[in-house]
Amino acid sequence: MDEEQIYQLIERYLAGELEGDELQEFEVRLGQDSKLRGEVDLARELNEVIEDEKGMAFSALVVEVEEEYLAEHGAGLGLGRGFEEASAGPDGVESSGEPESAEEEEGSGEAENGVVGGKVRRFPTWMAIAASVVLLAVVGYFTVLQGGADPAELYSEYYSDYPAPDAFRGDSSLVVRYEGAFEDYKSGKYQSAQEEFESILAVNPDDRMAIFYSGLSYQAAGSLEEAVSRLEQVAGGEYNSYQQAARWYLGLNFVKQEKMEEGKKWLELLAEGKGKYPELAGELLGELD
Amino acid sequence: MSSSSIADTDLLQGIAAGEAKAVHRMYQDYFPRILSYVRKNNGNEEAARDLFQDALMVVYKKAQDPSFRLESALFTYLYAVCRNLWLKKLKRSDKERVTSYEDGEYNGETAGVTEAFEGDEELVHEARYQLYRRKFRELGEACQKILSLSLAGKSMEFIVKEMSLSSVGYARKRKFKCKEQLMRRVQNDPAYRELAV
Repeated sequence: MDEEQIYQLIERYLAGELEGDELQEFEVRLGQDSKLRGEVDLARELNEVIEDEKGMAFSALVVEVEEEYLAEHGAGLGLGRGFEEASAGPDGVESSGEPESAEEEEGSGEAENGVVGGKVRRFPTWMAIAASVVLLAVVGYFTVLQGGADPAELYSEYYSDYPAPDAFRGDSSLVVRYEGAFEDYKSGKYQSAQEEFESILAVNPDDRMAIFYSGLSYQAAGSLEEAVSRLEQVAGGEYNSYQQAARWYLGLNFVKQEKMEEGKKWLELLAEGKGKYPELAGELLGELD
Repeated sequence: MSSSSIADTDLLQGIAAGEAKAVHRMYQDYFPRILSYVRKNNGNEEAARDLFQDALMVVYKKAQDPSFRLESALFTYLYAVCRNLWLKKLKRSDKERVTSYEDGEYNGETAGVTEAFEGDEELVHEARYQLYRRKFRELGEACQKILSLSLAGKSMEFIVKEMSLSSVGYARKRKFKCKEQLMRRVQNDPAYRELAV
């Protein structure tokens, strides 16, 4: 019996689906095999954790609040290089001392969060993340992987929308444009969203959030090559908070275009780091090999 | 006589209710001190963040219990949780050289708080479950969704329709594969060996 079959047997046992001789044989094996008992105990505990929707939601909330808190106060706590490494992973990208808050950006000419000379702060979508654990409509579909996975199927399997922020503060004219752009983005009107983001970039070409979401909107709308030119601006160069996600979507983009070497280049760079996207990149690279 | 204040009680209620501002307040008021403690005791920033998240979850779970009463200041309680958990992790990872927390304000009170836990195992249990939650969040969204729906009692037919999958057979296979991925990620994390039963 291979590993996959054992995992399936464990899940069926925990779900109460084993009966008769099959159940008896499994229980005898459990009594004799301590490693199997350990696997069953772990699987059982994982089920408990996943079933605990409130606990999962609170845990996600804590992570979101922590990120916001450290973005504001991390430097003051001496969380410089170490904090960035914990977030971005050891991918060799040097920290530029890039500002983590809009206040630090004022007058600097940089626009991490969107506005030169103004303050735009995004609030984390912790409610959306917590809800997505339970039930959330996603844009993205699974297709059957028949035999070896083809690029289009892999793209469908791994792609999902990057979440949009819920709220902004700052210069009123820009906030209105952002709100409009993100409403369209969240509604799946990607061409409209992309046009809104491009209009923001016409005024402020260095607005990294607009560059990033413009790239995502192009990609979601199927304009893969236009998406590449935007996403590469965020994925390369100095560390920024969208960099990991940009590398992920670039990797997927090239896979869909069947430009495997370029896709792998971004995924391998990403996989050197830590966190959700590096882990996904590792998985996808495994499927591409 | 309880040494917790009205403010502490309000904050605890906010935590119990899952309020973002209560969580933010905990970070604002207490994270720097826990960070300092971990740094003085063989730990780094990432470890401090994980420890603080684990401790907040312990506080949250305790606060859900209607019979739970805060008998000390909230920070004293939180510090005791962090200290006990940190010592446990260090012991299990063979890094036992821990200096005493130098702020004498807490040393006397924490002993009583420690006894309130049902042994350290309760804390380790919660820290282990926190590790599981972190690993779950690292899965792709589709995997998170299929596992959540399945364990929420949704039928495979419902999941097929909800996620636009091709068949019940494929959905089952996908579910097993996602669970297997999650188990492997947990087992491959060094923290799991420190927290395993």
